[in-house]
Amino acid sequence: MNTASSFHDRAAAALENPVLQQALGHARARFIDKREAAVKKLPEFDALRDRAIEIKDHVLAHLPFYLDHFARQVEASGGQVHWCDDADAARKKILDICQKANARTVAKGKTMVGEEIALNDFLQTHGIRPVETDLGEYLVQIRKETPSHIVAPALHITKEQAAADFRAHHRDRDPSRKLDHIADLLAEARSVLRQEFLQADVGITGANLLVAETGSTAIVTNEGNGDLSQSLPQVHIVLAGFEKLVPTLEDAAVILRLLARSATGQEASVYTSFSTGPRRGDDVDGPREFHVVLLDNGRSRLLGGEFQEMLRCIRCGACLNHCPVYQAIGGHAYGWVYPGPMGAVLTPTLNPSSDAATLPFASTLCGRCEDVCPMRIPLPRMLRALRHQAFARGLVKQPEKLTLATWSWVVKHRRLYRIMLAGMRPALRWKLVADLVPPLRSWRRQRALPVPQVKGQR
Amino acid sequence: MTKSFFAALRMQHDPSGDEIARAWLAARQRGPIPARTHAQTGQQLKDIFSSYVHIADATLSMVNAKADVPAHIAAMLPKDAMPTAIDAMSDPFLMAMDWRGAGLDPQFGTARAEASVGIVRPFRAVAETGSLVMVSGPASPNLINFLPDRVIAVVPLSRLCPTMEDVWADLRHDYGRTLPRSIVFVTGPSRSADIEQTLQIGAHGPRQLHIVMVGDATA
Repeated sequence: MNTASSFHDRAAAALENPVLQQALGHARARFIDKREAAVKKLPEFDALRDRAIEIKDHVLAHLPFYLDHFARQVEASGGQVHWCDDADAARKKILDICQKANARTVAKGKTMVGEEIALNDFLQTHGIRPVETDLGEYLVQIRKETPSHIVAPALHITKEQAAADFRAHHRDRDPSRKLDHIADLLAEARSVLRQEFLQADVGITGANLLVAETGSTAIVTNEGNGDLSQSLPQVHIVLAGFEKLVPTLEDAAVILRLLARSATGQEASVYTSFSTGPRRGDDVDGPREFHVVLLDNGRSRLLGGEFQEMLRCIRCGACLNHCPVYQAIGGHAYGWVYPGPMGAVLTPTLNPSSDAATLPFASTLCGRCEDVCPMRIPLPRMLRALRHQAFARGLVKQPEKLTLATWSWVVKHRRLYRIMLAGMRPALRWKLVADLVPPLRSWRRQRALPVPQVKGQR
Repeated sequence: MTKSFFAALRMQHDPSGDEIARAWLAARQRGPIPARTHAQTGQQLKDIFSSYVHIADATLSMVNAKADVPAHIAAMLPKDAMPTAIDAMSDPFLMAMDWRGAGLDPQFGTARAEASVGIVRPFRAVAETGSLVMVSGPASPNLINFLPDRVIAVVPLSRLCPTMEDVWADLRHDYGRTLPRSIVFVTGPSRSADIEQTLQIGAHGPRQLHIVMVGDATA
């Protein structure tokens, strides 16, 4: 977690970063318009949401049964399950599996849980080289950064930056080669990473779903890197939070119909891949070992409480894409792997002792996140609850408390409120006055400051 | 909550609610099935499949007879090296075809790392999304779906089904309680939009995906 600076400082820097603002601009249209079109084309979308919620709530209500059933099925198909209560346990278990396989190189499919437990740094310090194989994750890795979006990790990077990174990192390539187009960059990544896949001793992927009925894990990808990561090396490790469990394959189908549409606006992702155990006796390819590392890492704290619904999250990223705050500052300002509204809930609840308690204030509570959430997670309600908690714990500064208390008193007295608005009108019309007041001046740098209507205010 | 969540959860497991969960597992209830997959005839189902294949940036052609498949595929491939090398699954349905007669040089088994053309036979094709279902086994390695530059899938029309749920029913029927190691729903050629959110076809998997539907085959 980034604790070197405050959210406020990181957000301010993000707003002033023209390259980042340009990169964020690409995202808005793609994610929002494509999702909307895909949802419109599927009249059953809302019925699927209702069913998906029913499925997830059922699993959480019978969690011990389903965890046990899943583990038995993994073992019955020749795999192993490892129960890891926290990040440290998961890292050590994965290192142990890698060391037993005499692994030197690990090919990684995209896993946000891997980012959550800072797996790459840990493997590296123990002499194992992790190679990210998703194009976005690969870029983030060679830049020594962290993902800024859970679906599009390199959202903050422009193609000019990517080309410069490839030139700096792929030193054996012809320096005069052309890398002007995205196609050039993709072709180069394909050929560099193809060699890595063939060399890797262990493949690590995340999971979008864990199917209790069959002990299967599923990933949803577009590039094919996840499949090469889990099929070429001799050992396949799946790293997943326990909340990814669903009972049956039919239940998996319900969630898959929501996931691709909510994430990228696709009818289906290119590869929806189910892994069940290691290769069978007469199979000609596939890993010889299959491990599922099941992680808690704070998730169990949400069970039975007011944040339990957060465990329905399928990590589609729709709440990030539609959040006016995320759109303005990108993912890094949030300081941890999970940004946007889902991150503002997950970061402080999974890390209660961290300084993330003020993240829930980075929201306008406009409600778009809940509207687009395929699992209808009441994110605004949760953000408000977390604000109350932060307030009660004394994490809100004194001047802010005073301002809020005054505001709350004024708006409860209608005449006083109208007098205040009437008094503000001339000052706001004359923008220079607004610019003399420091807080209004910094507000006006990024936003319009409309002159309020007095009539009609109740 | 104790320090070890998983240990505590499994120890405190109260089995009284298990019957509800067991009933859920046994019911295998399907969720809402998109009405767009309801086809009255085989032709309608094929039309639905075809439209989603195109949305997924794959291509589709139809041959009436199984015997025509090798020549049909040979006509799509460049003629600069004769016979043209292809990698193909060692699937009996594919192995029975006269590839050499069509000027092709097949290697059956798994794909070589530098393979340029891979010929595969899916377990099923799914109309709802234009997907192919690739199931691993001795005669159907998984990597041949990913390593070649260009993948050509040969699908008997009889293997087309409406939805993913139909695939699950067929898999349970054919494989019983333990699924094969790998089941991949392939929907179009590989792609990435990771740079500037601009879609680019051809990432780590194939850059082209073509589907040949075979009218008369029942295999």
